[in-house]
Amino acid sequence: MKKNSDTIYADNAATTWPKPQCVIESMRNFFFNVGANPGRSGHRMSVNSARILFDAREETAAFFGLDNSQNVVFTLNATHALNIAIRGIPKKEGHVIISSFEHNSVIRPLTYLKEKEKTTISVVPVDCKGNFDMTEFKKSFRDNTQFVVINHGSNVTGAIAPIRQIGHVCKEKKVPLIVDVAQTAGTIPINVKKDNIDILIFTGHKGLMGPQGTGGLCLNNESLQSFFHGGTGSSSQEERHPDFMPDKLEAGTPNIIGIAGLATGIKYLRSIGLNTIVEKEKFLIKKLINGLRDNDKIIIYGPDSRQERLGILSFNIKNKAADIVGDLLDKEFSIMTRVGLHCAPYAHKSIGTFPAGTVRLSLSFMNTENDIAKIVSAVNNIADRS
Amino acid sequence: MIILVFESTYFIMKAEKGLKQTRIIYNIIPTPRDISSDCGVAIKVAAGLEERVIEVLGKANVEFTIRRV
Ligand SMILES: Cc1ncc(COP(=O)(O)O)c(C=O)c1O
Repeated sequence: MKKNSDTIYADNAATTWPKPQCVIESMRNFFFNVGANPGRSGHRMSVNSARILFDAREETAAFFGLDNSQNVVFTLNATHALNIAIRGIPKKEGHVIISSFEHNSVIRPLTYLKEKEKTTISVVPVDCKGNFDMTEFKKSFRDNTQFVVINHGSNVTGAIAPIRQIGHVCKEKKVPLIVDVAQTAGTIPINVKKDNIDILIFTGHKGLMGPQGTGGLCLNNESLQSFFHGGTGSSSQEERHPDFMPDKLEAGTPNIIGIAGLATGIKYLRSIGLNTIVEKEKFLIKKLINGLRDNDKIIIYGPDSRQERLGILSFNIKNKAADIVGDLLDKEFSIMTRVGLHCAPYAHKSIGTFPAGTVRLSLSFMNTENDIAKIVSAVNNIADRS
Repeated sequence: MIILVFESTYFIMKAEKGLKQTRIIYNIIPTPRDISSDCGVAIKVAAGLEERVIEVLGKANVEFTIRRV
Protein backbone atom coordinates (compact mmCIF):
# COMPACT_ATOMS: atom_id res chain seq x y z
CA MET A 1 0.00 0.00 0.00
CA LYS A 2 1.33 3.42 -0.94
CA LYS A 3 1.02 5.91 1.82
CA ASN A 4 0.44 9.60 1.54
CA SER A 5 3.96 10.95 1.20
CA ASP A 6 3.58 13.74 3.77
CA THR A 7 2.22 11.53 6.52
CA ILE A 8 4.59 9.79 8.89
CA TYR A 9 2.82 7.02 10.71
CA ALA A 10 4.55 6.27 14.03
CA ASP A 11 1.69 4.58 15.87
CA ASN A 12 2.45 1.01 14.86
CA ALA A 13 2.10 -0.32 18.41
CA ALA A 14 -1.61 0.55 18.17
CA THR A 15 -1.93 -1.02 14.74
CA THR A 16 0.54 -1.28 11.89
CA TRP A 17 0.09 0.88 8.82
CA PRO A 18 0.50 0.62 5.93
CA LYS A 19 -0.19 -3.08 5.43
CA PRO A 20 1.66 -5.02 2.71
CA GLN A 21 -0.03 -4.90 -0.69
CA CYS A 22 -0.33 -8.71 -0.77
CA VAL A 23 -2.46 -8.62 2.39
CA ILE A 24 -4.90 -6.25 0.73
CA GLU A 25 -4.89 -8.37 -2.45
CA SER A 26 -5.72 -11.55 -0.52
CA MET A 27 -8.68 -9.84 1.15
CA ARG A 28 -9.81 -8.46 -2.16
CA ASN A 29 -9.58 -11.93 -3.65
CA PHE A 30 -11.64 -13.32 -0.81
CA PHE A 31 -14.24 -10.62 -1.21
CA PHE A 32 -14.64 -11.06 -4.96
CA ASN A 33 -13.85 -14.72 -5.55
CA VAL A 34 -14.46 -16.75 -2.40
CA GLY A 35 -17.07 -14.99 -0.35
CA ALA A 36 -18.72 -17.95 1.37
CA ASN A 37 -18.62 -19.04 5.02
CA PRO A 38 -16.10 -21.74 5.96
CA GLY A 39 -17.21 -25.09 7.35
CA ARG A 40 -20.91 -24.41 7.06
CA SER A 41 -22.13 -25.52 3.65
CA GLY A 42 -21.08 -28.30 1.29
CA HIS A 43 -20.65 -26.29 -1.91
CA ARG A 44 -17.27 -25.51 -3.40
CA MET A 45 -17.22 -21.86 -2.39
CA SER A 46 -17.68 -22.85 1.24
CA VAL A 47 -15.02 -25.55 0.92
CA ASN A 48 -12.63 -22.98 -0.55
CA SER A 49 -13.33 -20.72 2.38
CA ALA A 50 -12.60 -23.63 4.77
CA ARG A 51 -9.31 -24.16 2.93
CA ILE A 52 -8.34 -20.56 3.60
CA LEU A 53 -9.17 -20.93 7.28
CA PHE A 54 -7.20 -24.17 7.53
CA ASP A 55 -4.21 -22.65 5.75
CA ALA A 56 -4.30 -19.72 8.19
CA ARG A 57 -4.18 -22.13 11.14
CA GLU A 58 -1.25 -23.99 9.62
CA GLU A 59 0.64 -20.74 8.92
CA THR A 60 0.04 -19.48 12.45
CA ALA A 61 1.05 -22.76 14.09
CA ALA A 62 4.26 -22.92 12.05
CA PHE A 63 5.06 -19.28 12.77
CA PHE A 64 4.94 -19.82 16.54
CA GLY A 65 6.42 -23.34 16.53
CA LEU A 66 3.19 -25.05 17.62
CA ASP A 67 3.01 -28.76 16.69
CA ASN A 68 -0.69 -29.07 16.03
CA SER A 69 -2.64 -26.42 14.14
CA GLN A 70 -5.82 -27.80 15.68
CA ASN A 71 -4.88 -25.78 18.74
CA VAL A 72 -4.86 -22.44 16.95
CA VAL A 73 -8.03 -20.49 17.80
CA PHE A 74 -8.95 -17.34 15.92
CA THR A 75 -10.57 -14.43 17.73
CA LEU A 76 -11.33 -10.80 17.02
CA ASN A 77 -8.21 -9.44 18.75
CA ALA A 78 -5.82 -10.09 21.64
CA THR A 79 -8.35 -8.80 24.16
CA HIS A 80 -10.91 -11.39 23.06
CA ALA A 81 -8.23 -14.12 23.22
CA LEU A 82 -7.10 -13.01 26.68
CA ASN A 83 -10.67 -13.17 27.94
CA ILE A 84 -11.03 -16.72 26.58
CA ALA A 85 -7.79 -17.76 28.29
CA ILE A 86 -8.29 -15.97 31.60
CA ARG A 87 -11.92 -17.02 31.94
CA GLY A 88 -11.24 -20.52 30.59
CA ILE A 89 -9.21 -21.67 33.59
CA PRO A 90 -11.56 -22.39 36.49
CA LYS A 91 -10.75 -20.33 39.51
CA LYS A 92 -12.98 -19.93 42.52
CA GLU A 93 -10.85 -18.11 45.05
CA GLY A 94 -7.75 -18.77 42.98
CA HIS A 95 -4.56 -16.79 42.69
CA VAL A 96 -2.97 -15.28 39.59
CA ILE A 97 0.46 -13.71 39.01
CA ILE A 98 0.99 -10.90 36.50
CA SER A 99 3.72 -8.34 35.86
CA SER A 100 3.40 -4.62 36.40
CA PHE A 101 3.57 -4.10 32.63
CA GLU A 102 0.25 -5.71 31.75
CA HIS A 103 -2.22 -4.11 29.39
CA ASN A 104 -5.81 -3.35 30.46
CA SER A 105 -6.88 -6.38 28.40
CA VAL A 106 -5.33 -8.44 31.24
CA ILE A 107 -5.97 -6.15 34.19
CA ARG A 108 -9.67 -5.65 33.54
CA PRO A 109 -10.73 -9.31 33.08
CA LEU A 110 -8.74 -10.08 36.25
CA THR A 111 -10.31 -7.22 38.18
CA TYR A 112 -13.69 -8.63 37.18
CA LEU A 113 -12.66 -12.04 38.56
CA LYS A 114 -11.31 -10.42 41.69
CA GLU A 115 -14.74 -8.96 42.34
CA LYS A 116 -16.83 -11.95 41.17
CA GLU A 117 -14.72 -14.97 42.11
CA LYS A 118 -12.52 -13.58 44.88
CA THR A 119 -9.45 -14.18 42.71
CA THR A 120 -6.33 -12.70 44.27
CA ILE A 121 -3.64 -11.13 42.14
CA SER A 122 0.09 -10.70 42.73
CA VAL A 123 1.83 -8.07 40.63
CA VAL A 124 5.54 -8.69 40.01
CA PRO A 125 7.41 -5.40 39.71
CA VAL A 126 9.14 -4.46 36.48
CA ASP A 127 11.40 -1.43 36.86
CA CYS A 128 11.56 1.63 34.63
CA LYS A 129 14.30 0.03 32.50
CA GLY A 130 12.12 -3.03 31.99
CA ASN A 131 13.94 -5.37 34.41
CA PHE A 132 11.62 -8.10 35.64
CA ASP A 133 12.04 -8.92 39.35
CA MET A 134 12.72 -12.66 39.17
CA THR A 135 13.23 -13.06 42.93
CA GLU A 136 9.91 -11.45 43.72
CA PHE A 137 8.30 -13.57 41.00
CA LYS A 138 9.51 -16.85 42.50
CA LYS A 139 8.29 -15.76 45.92
CA SER A 140 4.79 -14.92 44.70
CA PHE A 141 3.66 -18.50 43.95
CA ARG A 142 1.06 -19.96 46.32
CA ASP A 143 -0.70 -23.30 46.63
CA ASN A 144 -3.72 -21.94 44.77
CA THR A 145 -1.81 -20.16 41.97
CA GLN A 146 -3.71 -21.03 38.81
CA PHE A 147 -1.80 -19.25 36.10
CA VAL A 148 0.70 -16.52 35.28
CA VAL A 149 0.13 -13.86 32.63
CA ILE A 150 3.09 -11.93 31.23
CA ASN A 151 3.24 -9.21 28.61
CA HIS A 152 6.15 -10.20 26.38
CA GLY A 153 6.87 -6.73 25.02
CA SER A 154 5.87 -3.48 26.66
CA ASN A 155 3.61 -1.32 24.54
CA VAL A 156 4.78 1.66 26.63
CA THR A 157 8.58 1.35 26.77
CA GLY A 158 9.42 -1.38 24.27
CA ALA A 159 11.10 -3.43 27.02
CA ILE A 160 11.16 -7.19 26.46
CA ALA A 161 10.28 -9.62 29.29
CA PRO A 162 12.52 -12.69 29.86
CA ILE A 163 9.70 -15.13 29.09
CA ARG A 164 11.95 -18.13 28.58
CA GLN A 165 13.22 -17.89 32.17
CA ILE A 166 9.76 -17.02 33.46
CA GLY A 167 8.40 -20.08 31.65
CA HIS A 168 11.10 -22.20 33.18
CA VAL A 169 10.00 -21.21 36.67
CA CYS A 170 6.34 -21.85 35.75
CA LYS A 171 7.26 -25.34 34.53
CA GLU A 172 8.98 -26.10 37.83
CA LYS A 173 5.95 -24.87 39.73
CA LYS A 174 3.57 -26.65 37.31
CA VAL A 175 1.58 -23.49 36.71
CA PRO A 176 0.52 -22.60 33.15
CA LEU A 177 2.05 -19.50 31.59
CA ILE A 178 -0.05 -17.22 29.39
CA VAL A 179 2.08 -14.88 27.29
CA ASP A 180 0.69 -11.78 25.59
CA VAL A 181 2.70 -11.36 22.39
CA ALA A 182 0.57 -8.50 21.04
CA GLN A 183 3.69 -6.35 20.61
CA THR A 184 6.27 -9.02 19.84
CA ALA A 185 4.58 -11.27 17.26
CA GLY A 186 6.20 -10.37 13.97
CA THR A 187 8.81 -8.15 15.61
CA ILE A 188 10.96 -10.74 17.40
CA PRO A 189 11.14 -14.53 16.95
CA ILE A 190 8.84 -16.53 19.23
CA ASN A 191 8.61 -20.30 19.64
CA VAL A 192 6.10 -21.73 22.10
CA LYS A 193 8.31 -24.71 22.88
CA LYS A 194 11.68 -22.99 23.22
CA ASP A 195 10.13 -20.06 25.08
CA ASN A 196 8.15 -22.30 27.47
CA ILE A 197 4.79 -20.75 26.58
CA ASP A 198 1.66 -22.72 27.49
CA ILE A 199 -0.89 -20.31 26.06
CA LEU A 200 0.18 -17.74 23.51
CA ILE A 201 -2.06 -14.73 22.88
CA PHE A 202 -1.60 -12.82 19.65
CA THR A 203 -3.26 -10.00 17.81
CA GLY A 204 -3.33 -9.99 14.03
CA HIS A 205 -3.32 -6.30 13.24
CA LYS A 206 0.05 -5.23 14.63
CA GLY A 207 3.36 -6.93 13.76
CA LEU A 208 1.67 -9.80 11.93
CA MET A 209 0.45 -7.26 9.36
CA GLY A 210 -3.14 -8.49 9.19
CA PRO A 211 -6.22 -6.28 9.36
CA GLN A 212 -8.07 -5.18 12.49
CA GLY A 213 -10.53 -7.74 13.81
CA THR A 214 -8.05 -10.63 13.87
CA GLY A 215 -6.16 -12.30 16.69
CA GLY A 216 -6.12 -15.57 18.56
CA LEU A 217 -4.59 -18.11 20.90
CA CYS A 218 -2.19 -21.01 20.49
CA LEU A 219 -2.63 -23.73 23.08
CA ASN A 220 0.59 -25.63 23.68
CA ASN A 221 -0.63 -28.75 25.49
CA GLU A 222 -3.17 -26.78 27.49
CA SER A 223 -6.93 -26.99 27.42
CA LEU A 224 -9.45 -24.33 28.32
CA GLN A 225 -13.11 -24.33 29.27
CA SER A 226 -15.35 -22.53 26.83
CA PHE A 227 -17.78 -19.92 28.03
CA PHE A 228 -18.89 -18.80 24.61
CA HIS A 229 -21.20 -21.23 22.80
CA GLY A 230 -23.03 -21.35 19.48
CA GLY A 231 -22.94 -22.49 15.89
CA THR A 232 -19.81 -24.22 14.62
CA GLY A 233 -21.03 -26.08 11.54
CA SER A 234 -20.13 -29.32 13.36
CA SER A 235 -22.25 -31.66 15.53
CA SER A 236 -25.32 -29.66 14.54
CA GLN A 237 -27.61 -32.37 15.92
CA GLU A 238 -26.22 -31.73 19.42
CA GLU A 239 -27.59 -29.05 21.69
CA ARG A 240 -24.36 -29.01 23.61
CA HIS A 241 -21.41 -27.06 22.23
CA PRO A 242 -18.69 -29.40 20.85
CA ASP A 243 -15.73 -30.09 23.11
CA PHE A 244 -13.16 -30.75 20.38
CA MET A 245 -10.71 -28.17 19.15
CA PRO A 246 -10.80 -25.73 17.50
CA ASP A 247 -14.64 -25.66 17.45
CA LYS A 248 -14.74 -25.75 21.24
CA LEU A 249 -13.37 -22.23 21.49
CA GLU A 250 -14.75 -20.78 18.25
CA ALA A 251 -18.47 -20.12 17.93
CA GLY A 252 -20.22 -18.17 15.21
CA THR A 253 -19.07 -17.02 11.78
CA PRO A 254 -15.38 -16.08 11.91
CA ASN A 255 -13.87 -12.95 10.41
CA ILE A 256 -12.73 -15.06 7.49
CA ILE A 257 -11.88 -12.16 5.19
CA GLY A 258 -9.66 -10.75 7.94
CA ILE A 259 -8.12 -14.16 8.62
CA ALA A 260 -7.31 -14.46 4.90
CA GLY A 261 -5.41 -11.19 5.23
CA LEU A 262 -3.70 -12.30 8.43
CA ALA A 263 -2.46 -15.55 6.85
CA THR A 264 -1.01 -13.54 3.98
CA GLY A 265 0.61 -11.15 6.45
CA ILE A 266 2.37 -14.06 8.15
CA LYS A 267 3.46 -15.50 4.78
CA TYR A 268 4.83 -12.08 3.89
CA LEU A 269 6.89 -11.94 7.11
CA ARG A 270 8.17 -15.40 6.36
CA SER A 271 9.16 -14.37 2.84
CA ILE A 272 11.25 -11.40 3.96
CA GLY A 273 12.49 -13.18 7.06
CA LEU A 274 11.91 -12.19 10.66
CA ASN A 275 15.61 -11.46 11.15
CA THR A 276 15.55 -8.84 8.42
CA ILE A 277 12.62 -7.19 10.18
CA VAL A 278 14.29 -7.33 13.59
CA GLU A 279 17.46 -5.76 12.19
CA LYS A 280 15.61 -3.01 10.35
CA GLU A 281 13.57 -2.06 13.41
CA LYS A 282 16.66 -2.12 15.64
CA PHE A 283 18.47 0.13 13.21
CA LEU A 284 15.58 2.61 13.03
CA ILE A 285 14.92 2.81 16.78
CA LYS A 286 18.63 3.28 17.49
CA LYS A 287 18.76 6.12 15.00
CA LEU A 288 15.70 7.67 16.61
CA ILE A 289 17.12 7.46 20.13
CA ASN A 290 20.49 8.80 19.00
CA GLY A 291 18.75 11.79 17.49
CA LEU A 292 16.84 12.65 20.66
CA ARG A 293 18.99 11.67 23.60
CA ASP A 294 21.41 14.61 23.54
CA ASN A 295 18.66 17.15 23.97
CA ASP A 296 18.38 17.70 27.73
CA LYS A 297 14.80 18.90 27.37
CA ILE A 298 13.75 15.45 26.17
CA ILE A 299 13.23 12.66 28.69
CA ILE A 300 13.42 9.17 27.21
CA TYR A 301 11.93 6.24 29.14
CA GLY A 302 12.62 2.53 29.08
CA PRO A 303 15.59 0.26 28.48
CA ASP A 304 19.05 1.80 28.21
CA SER A 305 21.14 1.51 25.08
CA ARG A 306 22.77 -1.80 26.06
CA GLN A 307 19.44 -3.55 26.50
CA GLU A 308 17.23 -5.01 23.79
CA ARG A 309 14.06 -3.12 22.95
CA LEU A 310 11.27 -3.16 20.41
CA GLY A 311 10.75 -0.30 17.95
CA ILE A 312 8.83 1.61 20.62
CA LEU A 313 9.92 4.79 22.37
CA SER A 314 8.10 6.74 25.07
CA PHE A 315 9.29 10.25 25.79
CA ASN A 316 8.25 13.57 27.31
CA ILE A 317 9.42 17.09 26.76
CA LYS A 318 10.15 18.97 29.98
CA ASN A 319 7.39 21.42 30.89
CA LYS A 320 5.20 20.39 27.97
CA ALA A 321 2.20 18.10 28.37
CA ALA A 322 2.26 14.94 26.28
CA ASP A 323 -1.08 15.71 24.61
CA ILE A 324 0.18 19.10 23.43
CA VAL A 325 3.36 17.59 22.01
CA GLY A 326 1.36 14.87 20.25
CA ASP A 327 -1.01 17.42 18.79
CA LEU A 328 1.86 19.61 17.51
CA LEU A 329 3.49 16.55 15.93
CA ASP A 330 0.25 15.80 14.11
CA LYS A 331 -0.86 19.30 13.09
CA GLU A 332 2.50 20.86 12.24
CA PHE A 333 4.57 17.89 11.18
CA SER A 334 2.03 15.23 10.08
CA ILE A 335 3.58 12.72 12.48
CA MET A 336 1.11 10.28 14.05
CA THR A 337 1.88 9.27 17.64
CA ARG A 338 -0.12 8.13 20.60
CA VAL A 339 -0.12 10.10 23.83
CA GLY A 340 -1.39 9.26 27.31
CA LEU A 341 -1.42 5.96 29.18
CA HIS A 342 -1.59 3.50 26.27
CA CYS A 343 -4.10 1.26 28.12
CA ALA A 344 -1.34 0.33 30.57
CA PRO A 345 -1.71 2.34 33.79
CA TYR A 346 0.50 -0.04 35.80
CA ALA A 347 3.34 0.37 33.34
CA HIS A 348 3.13 4.14 33.61
CA LYS A 349 3.18 3.85 37.39
CA SER A 350 6.34 1.75 37.06
CA ILE A 351 8.12 4.38 34.98
CA GLY A 352 6.78 7.31 37.02
CA THR A 353 4.57 8.85 34.34
CA PHE A 354 1.15 8.14 35.83
CA PRO A 355 -1.34 9.79 35.30
CA ALA A 356 0.11 12.30 32.82
CA GLY A 357 1.44 9.66 30.42
CA THR A 358 3.98 9.99 27.63
CA VAL A 359 4.24 10.54 23.90
CA ARG A 360 4.83 7.21 22.22
CA LEU A 361 6.59 6.76 18.89
CA SER A 362 6.23 3.25 17.56
CA LEU A 363 7.82 2.05 14.34
CA SER A 364 7.40 -0.79 11.93
CA PHE A 365 9.84 -2.07 9.32
CA MET A 366 7.79 -0.08 6.80
CA ASN A 367 9.17 3.15 8.28
CA THR A 368 12.16 4.68 6.50
CA GLU A 369 15.35 6.45 7.55
CA ASN A 370 13.81 9.57 6.11
CA ASP A 371 10.83 9.18 8.48
CA ILE A 372 13.24 8.97 11.41
CA ALA A 373 15.14 12.06 10.30
CA LYS A 374 11.88 14.02 10.09
CA ILE A 375 10.70 12.78 13.50
CA VAL A 376 14.04 13.67 15.11
CA SER A 377 13.97 17.13 13.65
CA ALA A 378 10.32 17.74 14.65
CA VAL A 379 10.69 16.55 18.25
CA ASN A 380 13.87 18.60 18.75
CA ASN A 381 12.15 21.59 17.21
CA ILE A 382 9.23 21.34 19.66
CA ALA A 383 11.57 20.75 22.62
CA ASP A 384 13.66 23.81 21.81
CA ARG A 385 10.69 26.17 21.73
CA SER A 386 10.50 28.22 24.87
CA MET B 1 -17.73 -45.96 -2.88
CA ILE B 2 -16.73 -45.16 0.63
CA ILE B 3 -17.52 -41.97 2.45
CA LEU B 4 -15.17 -40.57 5.06
CA VAL B 5 -16.97 -38.74 7.79
CA PHE B 6 -15.32 -36.26 10.15
CA GLU B 7 -16.18 -34.56 13.37
CA SER B 8 -15.26 -31.11 12.14
CA THR B 9 -14.23 -29.19 9.06
CA TYR B 10 -10.77 -28.87 10.54
CA PHE B 11 -10.24 -32.61 10.07
CA ILE B 12 -11.60 -32.59 6.51
CA MET B 13 -9.02 -29.96 5.63
CA LYS B 14 -6.29 -31.90 7.37
CA ALA B 15 -7.39 -35.04 5.54
CA GLU B 16 -7.30 -33.17 2.25
CA LYS B 17 -3.77 -32.02 3.00
CA GLY B 18 -2.76 -35.68 3.47
CA LEU B 19 -4.63 -36.88 0.37
CA LYS B 20 -3.17 -34.15 -1.83
CA GLN B 21 0.26 -35.61 -1.24
CA THR B 22 -0.88 -38.88 -2.85
CA ARG B 23 -2.45 -39.78 -6.19
CA ILE B 24 -5.72 -40.79 -4.55
CA ILE B 25 -8.69 -39.26 -6.31
CA TYR B 26 -11.12 -37.84 -3.80
CA ASN B 27 -14.17 -35.66 -3.85
CA ILE B 28 -15.44 -33.33 -1.16
CA ILE B 29 -19.23 -33.64 -1.05
CA PRO B 30 -22.09 -32.48 1.16
CA THR B 31 -22.66 -35.32 3.62
CA PRO B 32 -25.46 -37.60 2.29
CA ARG B 33 -28.62 -37.26 4.32
CA ASP B 34 -28.77 -40.91 5.40
CA ILE B 35 -25.40 -40.64 7.09
CA SER B 36 -25.87 -38.79 10.29
CA SER B 37 -22.71 -36.82 10.14
CA ASP B 38 -21.14 -34.40 12.47
CA CYS B 39 -20.12 -31.86 9.93
CA GLY B 40 -21.76 -30.77 6.71
CA VAL B 41 -19.13 -32.08 4.31
CA ALA B 42 -17.56 -35.48 3.77
CA ILE B 43 -14.96 -37.03 1.47
CA LYS B 44 -15.82 -39.65 -1.14
CA VAL B 45 -13.27 -42.10 -2.55
CA ALA B 46 -13.43 -45.33 -4.55
CA ALA B 47 -14.08 -48.44 -2.43
CA GLY B 48 -10.90 -50.18 -3.54
CA LEU B 49 -8.82 -47.46 -1.92
CA GLU B 50 -10.03 -48.05 1.61
CA GLU B 51 -6.82 -49.53 2.99
CA ARG B 52 -4.64 -46.93 1.34
CA VAL B 53 -6.84 -44.12 2.66
CA ILE B 54 -6.71 -45.50 6.19
CA GLU B 55 -2.94 -45.57 5.95
CA VAL B 56 -2.64 -42.01 4.59
CA LEU B 57 -5.09 -40.46 7.04
CA GLY B 58 -3.61 -42.39 9.92
CA LYS B 59 -0.23 -40.88 9.10
CA ALA B 60 -1.81 -37.43 8.90
CA ASN B 61 -3.27 -37.90 12.41
CA VAL B 62 -6.83 -37.42 11.28
CA GLU B 63 -9.82 -38.84 13.11
CA PHE B 64 -12.62 -40.14 10.88
CA THR B 65 -15.15 -42.91 10.37
CA ILE B 66 -15.83 -44.84 7.18
CA ARG B 67 -19.28 -45.46 5.68
CA ARG B 68 -19.68 -47.82 2.77
CA VAL B 69 -22.36 -46.87 0.28
C1 LIG C 1 0.62 -5.52 25.24
C2 LIG C 1 -0.74 -5.49 24.62
N1 LIG C 1 -1.64 -6.40 24.96
C3 LIG C 1 -2.88 -6.43 24.42
C4 LIG C 1 -3.26 -5.49 23.48
C5 LIG C 1 -4.66 -5.55 22.97
O1 LIG C 1 -4.69 -5.83 21.62
P1 LIG C 1 -6.10 -5.75 20.84
O2 LIG C 1 -6.47 -4.32 20.84
O3 LIG C 1 -5.81 -6.30 19.50
O4 LIG C 1 -7.09 -6.55 21.60
C6 LIG C 1 -2.33 -4.52 23.08
C7 LIG C 1 -2.64 -3.48 22.07
O5 LIG C 1 -3.53 -2.70 22.10
C8 LIG C 1 -1.05 -4.51 23.68
O6 LIG C 1 -0.16 -3.58 23.35
